[in-house]
Amino acid sequence: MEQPPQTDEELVRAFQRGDRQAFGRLIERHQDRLYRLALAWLGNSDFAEDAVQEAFLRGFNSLPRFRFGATPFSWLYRTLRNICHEINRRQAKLKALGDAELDIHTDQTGHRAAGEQSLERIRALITKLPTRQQEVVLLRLFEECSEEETANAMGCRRGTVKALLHKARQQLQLGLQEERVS
Amino acid sequence: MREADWEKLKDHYQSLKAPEQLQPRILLAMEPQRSGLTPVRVWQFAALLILGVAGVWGILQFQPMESKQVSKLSAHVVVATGITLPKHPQDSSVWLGMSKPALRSLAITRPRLSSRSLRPSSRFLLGSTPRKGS
Repeated sequence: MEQPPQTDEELVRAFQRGDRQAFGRLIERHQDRLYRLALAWLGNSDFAEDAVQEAFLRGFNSLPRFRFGATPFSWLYRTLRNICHEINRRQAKLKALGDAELDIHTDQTGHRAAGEQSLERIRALITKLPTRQQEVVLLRLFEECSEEETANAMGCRRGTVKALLHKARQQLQLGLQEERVS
Repeated sequence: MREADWEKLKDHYQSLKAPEQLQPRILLAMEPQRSGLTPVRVWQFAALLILGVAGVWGILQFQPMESKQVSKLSAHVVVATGITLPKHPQDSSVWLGMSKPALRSLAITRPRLSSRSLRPSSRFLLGSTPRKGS
């Protein structure tokens, strides 16, 4: 009996051979992680869902031609990051036009879990950091990705990840101290 | 910063899960791209088919005319080879409509225009200045 594919690479290869269920397993494996990251960047569950869906749809169209120059997760991560930046840019423009109803920090459903409240705190902390440091903090500290995974996802060297994380830690310590004082 | 703060924050963050309906939603969104014949593709196919038929019809309409067809045109001079030539070479529709053998025979049978007779008009058309002394 054939062993079911385990790694992301094997799943993508199976998908490239025409096994569409393999793509479903890829979604199952990464949707939570990508959703959390999108939520951290966008701060809105509806936008986060849309972003994750769009990332997987782009993956569905592009992964058949995937050449394994990067890991499938890093590809999905970068796609999601670009989508989130696009959404943020678009929303910022709309906000600048004075459309008060389209506040990205407003949750339409009104339902807020404890996790989402923590997320707001995380957002409040990391939005003070430069974009690259935000990414490192999310991937390394919150998603617990390895240095190599983080470097792959961000498209940089491991040394850069270390340096960015070091700077981010310093700034976050300061940030937390300010938070306690206030 | 306290380690406990981080841990608590991290635990809460990691407790966040994608909504249950997200995966079915993604799979549903992939559905139209999966099937071979979507309404859009049917329209695209129909449009391409119509364009193709129109293109073939157009090509057939503008195929080189046979000598018999040319002879049907009015105001032509019949030369000894049996090929009908237009009176006015400027009539590009007739000239372009002629087949290669017809053009070849034209070159043989039609008297050449002298270079002198072409000079003024060609200069005028090209917009060149007349030579000195001419």
